[in-house]
Amino acid sequence: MDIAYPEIPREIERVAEEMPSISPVLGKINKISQEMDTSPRDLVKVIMLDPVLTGKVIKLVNSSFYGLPQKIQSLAQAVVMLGMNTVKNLAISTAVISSVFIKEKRSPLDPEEFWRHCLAAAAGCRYLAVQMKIAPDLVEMYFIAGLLHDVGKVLFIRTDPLRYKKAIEESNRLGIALTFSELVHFGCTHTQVGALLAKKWKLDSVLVDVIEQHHFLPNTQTPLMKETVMLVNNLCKQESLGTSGNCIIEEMADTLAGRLGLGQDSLNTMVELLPSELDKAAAFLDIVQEAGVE
Amino acid sequence: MKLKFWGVRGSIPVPGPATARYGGNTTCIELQGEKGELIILDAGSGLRVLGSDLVQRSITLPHIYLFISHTHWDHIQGFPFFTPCYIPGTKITIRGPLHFLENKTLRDVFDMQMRYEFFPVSNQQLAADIQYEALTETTLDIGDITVRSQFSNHPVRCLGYRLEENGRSVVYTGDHEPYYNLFDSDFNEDSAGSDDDLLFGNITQTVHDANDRFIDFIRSVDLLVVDSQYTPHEYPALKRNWGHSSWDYCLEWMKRAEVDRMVLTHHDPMRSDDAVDEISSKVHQHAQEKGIDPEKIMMAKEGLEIEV
Repeated sequence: MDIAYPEIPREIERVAEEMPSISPVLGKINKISQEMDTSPRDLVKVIMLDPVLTGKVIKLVNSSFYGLPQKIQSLAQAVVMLGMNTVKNLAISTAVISSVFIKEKRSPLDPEEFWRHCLAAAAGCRYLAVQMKIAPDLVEMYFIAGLLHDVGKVLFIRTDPLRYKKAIEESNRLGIALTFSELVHFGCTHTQVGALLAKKWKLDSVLVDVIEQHHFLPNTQTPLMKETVMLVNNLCKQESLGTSGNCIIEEMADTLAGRLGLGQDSLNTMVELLPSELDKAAAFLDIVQEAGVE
Repeated sequence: MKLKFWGVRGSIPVPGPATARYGGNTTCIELQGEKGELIILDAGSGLRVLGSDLVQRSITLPHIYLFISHTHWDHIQGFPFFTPCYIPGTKITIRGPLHFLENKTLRDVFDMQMRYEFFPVSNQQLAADIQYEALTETTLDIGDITVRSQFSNHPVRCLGYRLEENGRSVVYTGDHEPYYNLFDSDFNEDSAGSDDDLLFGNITQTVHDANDRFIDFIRSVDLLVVDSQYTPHEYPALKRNWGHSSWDYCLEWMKRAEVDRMVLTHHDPMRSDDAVDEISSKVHQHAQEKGIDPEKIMMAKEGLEIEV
């Protein structure tokens, strides 16, 4: 069954044009960072494919948090002084935060809480992908699927934060799905506009699909990834790991876990692991704010 | 200042007949100031023995200042067995660096190794009055002793400490590897002369500056206590990027920085006493060739005492 979506209004499309794209190298850095034999040269070359990201990482390395005695001018210098692991983590965190961080001051969603929700979903999806023995090449796509599943909300907030506030309040007050409320106020849903962004950024069609349909029961050629995102999304809401603005917890965890062949143990472990991931994220956010990196 | 070595081993304690002479405990150095200030450098398993000794010396313990070079096991694992922690009223101040992006305090890291799964007593249950302070590069005073910290080159954030009192000085490097161009090793013909030389080319200067800064840190010290885990044969061929130095570098540093005396420590856990002796004689021979008085270089040994 195909889902019939209304057309995305022109005002939304215009804002989508201006949204900065997710770093095209995020998946690649994530992937090479899992490999034991990555050389420093490989790492630096991959990060440098994204000049904006490179600039941000260098700015962060020079922040007072790292307390380096000399000013760093290149990623290679940063690797010499801080080690590969630190630079790799810094690049991943920077790329990740840039993609879903809300800068709008009037945002109805607390930027840090929303970022925590996205990151928890990303880390959770990756964890479950490994548990399900998904091919290593695809695991990072699970991470990105989790990270970006709600990216459409960022776009709504950029379009009209006060109207999005109303949409959220109304869905909470009436106990209706946020997507319905979005339809009423914006004429389209965050799943739809998230998919629009994913297409615009030329992400894999699998990701476009997952973002577009993460509130609907699976019926596509990519059920595994979609079900994983749905499952993790709901668990994050249930465990209050960050805030998505959506009060509805879809009661289908058991069904989804069953379809994915995941036992309760895997889910419990995932939920236990996520807070430490989020701690790291919070530390990173402090550094970003201190360094004034956008 | 008086120093005494209570643990001289790197990585993991290695008890047994093969290590009985130099000792199998991991890093711990006691330093006493002229007015009795008590500073302890690192809390490896040697700290347990020092703790037992401290409580036998007098009824009241002085304020204990513990400086941690970094939080790898071999530099903190003696802490849960440090008797003064269990004595009410003992004041202990622990200072050391934190690694990036973990969002943990120094206390959190010490708490972790004493979680119930690992140890029967939790950090919260310790009777002593223990304060923690995370350090970066800084200078502070403990009585008449001035302590200056500077980052060393190790996989986890690590500090070396320079201690000075009445014009006398000691540097303990913590775990330290010479800064090097880690892009050299994967240099291949495909990339030779290509554009990315331009992108990586300025590394030489960074490495040079960082190593010079290390030399400045140890310059003219009366005593250098230096990580010398490896032989020139092992490093750099096999152990590069492991975060430790080899004795040939140490000799070079001693000469360049005009260090008076040097103690080589953090012996590899694989090193038997005989192997350390062998290294010792090689070091002395090379020192002579370099115009350094071999008498001024010692291998660290449990129980070794040095007055500076």
